[in-house]
Amino acid sequence: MIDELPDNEVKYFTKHIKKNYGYDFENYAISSLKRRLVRILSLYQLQSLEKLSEQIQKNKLDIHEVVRQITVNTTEFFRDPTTWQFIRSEVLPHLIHKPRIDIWHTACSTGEEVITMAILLAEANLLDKTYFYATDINENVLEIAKKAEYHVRNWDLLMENYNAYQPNYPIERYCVKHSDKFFFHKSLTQNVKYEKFDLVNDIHTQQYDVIFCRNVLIYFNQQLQNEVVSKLANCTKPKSYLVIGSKETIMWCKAAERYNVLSHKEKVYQLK
Amino acid sequence: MSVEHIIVIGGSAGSFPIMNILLNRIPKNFYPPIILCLHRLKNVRHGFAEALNLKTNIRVNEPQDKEPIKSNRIYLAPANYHLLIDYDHTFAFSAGEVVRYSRPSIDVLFMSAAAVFGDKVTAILLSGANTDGTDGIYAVHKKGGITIVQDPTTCTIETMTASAIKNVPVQYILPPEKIITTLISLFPITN
Repeated sequence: MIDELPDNEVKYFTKHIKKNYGYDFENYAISSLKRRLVRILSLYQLQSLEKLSEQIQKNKLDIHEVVRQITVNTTEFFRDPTTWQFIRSEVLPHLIHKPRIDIWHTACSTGEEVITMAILLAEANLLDKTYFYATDINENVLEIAKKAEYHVRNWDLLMENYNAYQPNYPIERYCVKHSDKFFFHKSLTQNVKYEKFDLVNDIHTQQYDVIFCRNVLIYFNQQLQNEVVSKLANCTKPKSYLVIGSKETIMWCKAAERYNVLSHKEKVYQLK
Repeated sequence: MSVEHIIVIGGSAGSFPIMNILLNRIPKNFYPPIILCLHRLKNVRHGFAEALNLKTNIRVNEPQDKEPIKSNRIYLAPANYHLLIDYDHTFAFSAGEVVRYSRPSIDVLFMSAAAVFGDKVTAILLSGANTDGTDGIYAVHKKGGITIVQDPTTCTIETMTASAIKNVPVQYILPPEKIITTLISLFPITN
């Protein structure tokens, strides 16, 4: 097993991927990027990144699948229950009087947090006037998100998180279990537009009331975090919200001065 | 002052009391940063660092992403993320797949510590019920770092330490009280 990749090989590989396929991993945080790449080599039983490039070039490996493996797609329903409690009590009340609510999930992966937010909005009677833009760099995960059907192995975690969010309230109101899957009601996701979007390369001009960018920034280096947080600030309506992951911080970013910290613990920021 | 040497400690089932005794006895001017990776419950996000804080002479915290590693500190890997060391001596996180059923994984922390700090790493593995830590101890050994494993006969559950000893030529196999005296003799307090 390869346990470490030399810097120059990683640089050469990311340059090659950027030039030929447009995916830009050059400013990813290097330690975790190397870990992902070592994992991929072992998964495909390849000896070097050069061999990996070769396999992609010869179409023996699908670039989208390789991108899916490089990026981390871990997500959960109601992940960090207290964060959702905070959104319910401190953010939703400010959305009630808006004629229309726009929400952007910038890296929605397989869609669990889109459904989580839709449930919060449904319970506050705000879902009908809400429009979601749910994006991810990877089309394969978006296909799963669009179906809003999940394997029962995720059920226990959903129950555990949802009960921590609000005990004694049946999640079965929103979904149906059938054999080894469970399906969320289509009404939850009827106003969701799923689309491929690359936070590093793509430009977006629409403005949102709430932007979710949870557990994405951890994979970027400081320079890229800076760029991406500025981009997100430009897409946030005044007095509107940015939610990031529980171990992330925007404190090192230039755009931090454009935000007030609503909760250090739950990582909710409000644009000034 | 820049950090020259780091100490990484991994533990699982049965390691919490040992970890507490160790931390309790670390002198308050102990210089190298100590980074802990303990397997624990996922939704217990807060309170654990605070609980440890009560029994140490050194400040304990769960780091934030990109936080620079500082001397004379104890850091604790947060629940549900892998904690890594990055090349600019800052902390990095990943929510990637569990490794040996664990997130945070001891292997992930130890391997990244070895990659970044080379032979300037001391890795300590304590009691536990799985085999997380073996690959990590191996990575530290390969780079010439110092490897210490709790004597399996003193572990509540010996699976983790026995696995490391079986697979890696570990330098020190010690009961808990010797781990602390060895650490203090390896890194004497100078002022």
